[in-house]
Amino acid sequence: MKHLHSLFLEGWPDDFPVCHDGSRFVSWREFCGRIAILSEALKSRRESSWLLESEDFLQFSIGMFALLYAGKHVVVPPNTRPGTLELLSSAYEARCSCLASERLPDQPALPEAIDPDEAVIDLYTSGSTGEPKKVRKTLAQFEAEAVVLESQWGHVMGESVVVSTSPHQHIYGMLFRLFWPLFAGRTFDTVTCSHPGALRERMSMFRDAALVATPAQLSRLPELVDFPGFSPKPKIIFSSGGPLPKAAALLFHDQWGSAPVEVFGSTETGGVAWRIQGRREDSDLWSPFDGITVRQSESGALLLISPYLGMRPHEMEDRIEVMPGGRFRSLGRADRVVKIEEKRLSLSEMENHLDGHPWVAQAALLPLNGRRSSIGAVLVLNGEGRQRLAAEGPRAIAGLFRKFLSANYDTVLLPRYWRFLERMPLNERGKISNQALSDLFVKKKACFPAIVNRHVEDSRKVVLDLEIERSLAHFSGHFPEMAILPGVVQIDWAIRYAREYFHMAGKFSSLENVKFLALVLPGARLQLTLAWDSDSGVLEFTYANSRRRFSTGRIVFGKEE
Amino acid sequence: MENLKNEIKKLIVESLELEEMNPDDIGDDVPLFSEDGLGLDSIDALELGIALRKKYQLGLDSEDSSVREHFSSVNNLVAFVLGRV
Repeated sequence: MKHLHSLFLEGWPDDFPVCHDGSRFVSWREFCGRIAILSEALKSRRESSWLLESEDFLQFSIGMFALLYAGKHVVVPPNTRPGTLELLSSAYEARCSCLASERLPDQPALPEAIDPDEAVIDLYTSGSTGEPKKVRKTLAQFEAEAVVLESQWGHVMGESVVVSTSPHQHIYGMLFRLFWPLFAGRTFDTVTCSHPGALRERMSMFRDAALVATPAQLSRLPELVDFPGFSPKPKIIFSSGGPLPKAAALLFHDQWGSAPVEVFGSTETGGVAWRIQGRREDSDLWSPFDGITVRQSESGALLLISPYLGMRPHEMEDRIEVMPGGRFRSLGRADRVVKIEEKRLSLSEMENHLDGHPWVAQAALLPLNGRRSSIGAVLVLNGEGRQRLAAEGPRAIAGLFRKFLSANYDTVLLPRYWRFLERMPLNERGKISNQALSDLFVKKKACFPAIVNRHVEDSRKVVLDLEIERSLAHFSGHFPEMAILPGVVQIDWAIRYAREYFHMAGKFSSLENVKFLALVLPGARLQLTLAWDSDSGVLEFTYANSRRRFSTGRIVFGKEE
Repeated sequence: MENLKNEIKKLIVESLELEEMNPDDIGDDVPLFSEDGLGLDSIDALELGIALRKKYQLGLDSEDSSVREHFSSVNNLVAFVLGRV
């Protein structure tokens, strides 16, 4: 174990592989040398706060330590979108990435110790108000967390190389991929694996690997790879950013012997608690980390007493239920901050942003849960917006709004579903009705049956094999006490399909001899036979199966217009 | 070839639950993961991977680092599926 604030005094052996950069191991000697050079260059600069935004994790790591050891204040943006950097422009004086190409002095001495409480790193997260919210961390806090993690899992990690699918620019990646490994003397991989192929490739390079990942990736991994045969398996998996669905955790438990270690925390608080889900009923409970106490506030929120926050009680936005013994169950968030595939989003913030668009009169957002979590956007447009909508159609306009938001937001957070209304639906208290909003996104049910087979006999006769699926819109509501296919729908289908297959330009004129002989129930398979006589303008239809006829009739059409 | 192309477009629309979008609306060379194209995100990439694996029994866990390129457009996906099946 080496203190992060006197890392270069204590030092690892010269040939210790600090990290693997995708093509080779980088030795401690080289790593320190590069930090020393950059740090020396930084010391001669007047600017005190520096933006560190490198996508390259090795560059980022070197930049981080060079800045801290030069006594500079590090600013890590939540993402590198131009709109975000613009918003943060008053938060820093210079950019670290602009320095890399400057001429640097020859090998200087390694920096000595620094005061870990004075080594400041500013992170940003989405607050509930509007602007990105600054969260100031110190190296001392990261160090304290690394001590706890090492005492809890160091023995399982052993000499594992730390491999990851999560970005290094957020607190989780920074702590688990950089600070903890450097503190404990473990090699870290600087490649961020974006797909399972890359993950397998990276893991097979190292004898033992520990995986740092998120629920979004882990919950899909079993469906993306030959899960039982995936080899080599990581020695331990960490998951943070949100809860891992129980079903996914159990797959890991059953196939790989152990479910991932889930870490509960936030940028503001650092790590709070952990759990490993399994078949035991109470395995969904979270255990606070050593030294941390969790209580329930009067409003049911998580009240945290943590050494990382100077033991001052801190109320989080998560609602919890505390069990005897101090473990707790999470009941979801209390504010309008939602998690979309682990990414935190303030709905109010994005609404404010949309409200600022020149075409928007009012915006309302809501989280949707389907196959994946996503955002639905409901917009009331002003005159100009409505003109553009009429001219270009909803899809194109939604695309423009997505592009507008993408200047500030990660693609995962962009609303996937858009509704444009004349006015917002209000409830009796005059507030926007959440129920009415979410009803707007209920999937449109199908109105036509599945055509399983078709025989076009000639230009006057066609036979269609239909499957009357239970999910058809017509089965809900027509006869509430009993789901049957209404006769008027059968006639409508006959006309619709006839117009598809025959040349029928005339208008509907009358029905003759229509008989409904038996009820068509959900799930039925039947044959629709259509015969068209263009001379008389008569369409004959029959719905039948091999045993009986369900309905027959003649539909008369007028002359072509 | 043309069939496979349409099948993959249909798979994209259906497996990712894209709204207001028909398979025909997706151009063969439109960038799938860019806001100038279809604007799909990293979760869509995983979901699409799952759908392709189910439909074509494609192993995406091979040590092939060019997955990003295979997934960049319908044309590239078609070539990828043809190369693997």
